[in-house]
Amino acid sequence: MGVLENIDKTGFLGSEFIKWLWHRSEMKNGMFEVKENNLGAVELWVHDRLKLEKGEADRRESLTYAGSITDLGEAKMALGKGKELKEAGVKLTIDGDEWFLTLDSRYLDIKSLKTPKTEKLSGGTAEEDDPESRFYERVFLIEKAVDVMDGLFAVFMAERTGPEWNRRTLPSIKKWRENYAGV
Amino acid sequence: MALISGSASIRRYRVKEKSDGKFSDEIVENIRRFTFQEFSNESETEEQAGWVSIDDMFRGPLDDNSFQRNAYVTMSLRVDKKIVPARTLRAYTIKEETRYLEVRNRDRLTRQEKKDIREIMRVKLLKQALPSISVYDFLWNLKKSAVYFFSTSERSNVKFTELFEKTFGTALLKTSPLSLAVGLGHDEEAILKLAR
Repeated sequence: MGVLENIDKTGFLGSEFIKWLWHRSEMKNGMFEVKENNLGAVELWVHDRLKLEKGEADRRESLTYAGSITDLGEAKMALGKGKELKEAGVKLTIDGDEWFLTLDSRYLDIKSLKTPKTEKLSGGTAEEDDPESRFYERVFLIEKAVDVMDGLFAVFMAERTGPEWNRRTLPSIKKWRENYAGV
Repeated sequence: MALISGSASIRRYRVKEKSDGKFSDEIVENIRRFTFQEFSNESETEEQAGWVSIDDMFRGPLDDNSFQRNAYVTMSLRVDKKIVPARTLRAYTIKEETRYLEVRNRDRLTRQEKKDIREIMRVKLLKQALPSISVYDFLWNLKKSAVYFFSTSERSNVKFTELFEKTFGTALLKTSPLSLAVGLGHDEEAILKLAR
């Protein structure tokens, strides 16, 4: 099977990852433990934007939910109607610093990434600000966001391919969805 | 630009062949060869694309110190496009067709004449048009063999991967949930079996 065909066939992995992040963040008050690269404790919330899709190519139906908690609840209901998560807005907090990004399910693209503000290392004015230091700090912050998302994906994959997925995780996700609908 | 400041949208790749950052003369020559060139006065093309410095889109990537910073390679892909709006082309073509007929005291043009006049006007208007400029940064972490391209549009990614592979002589492998999972040690066949 070709590379692109394999990517398409396993596209569900990205959607499931986003759904798992959303469910887990609500169950565990946003707290995740990431062993990869010794990243440790991170806080993640699905935040302010969700895009869902259903169907193929010409018949694709796309819905975007943005802003309110009510909208996110409606998005949760839509998950039960065969729609898959395509994108989610995410807020990451690590040691008090915040990143905002949108995660795309197909290639796990990181979109609209806003990194924490960098400090002026020389101590004050724009003129004294060191461009080289700014470069390295910015790269560090970007790679940190990427490493954290990859680390969370590793946690997800360990669970997804393990025995607990069908036994515990899937029923928990189902109950979480249905609880909003009051079922 | 997106790498240095502001909001960033990133598509990730892995470089197939690891590099230590000591680039051969051939690769340096490729970077020069594929450095961005402005439209010339005589240019009849609609698009120009090539590498520029990440710090200054009017300089080549080897013209300042931005190309390599320790374990990172950084450049930008600049793409300039000229467009002649269809309505503008049609209006000027009709005007020229009218003038052409008057000069020759004729009523009608042949199909070939229409085609030629249209092409002459297209090229003339194209030379006068100002280009739109797009600049996309990329960052290559040499230690991780990871490339971050700061655009998620399909068109710009295709252009980027083609130019990168021509320049550096190595394939770029797109990151995906499947490739990440395999990189973590999961079996590809087992993952494919999970597919609904």
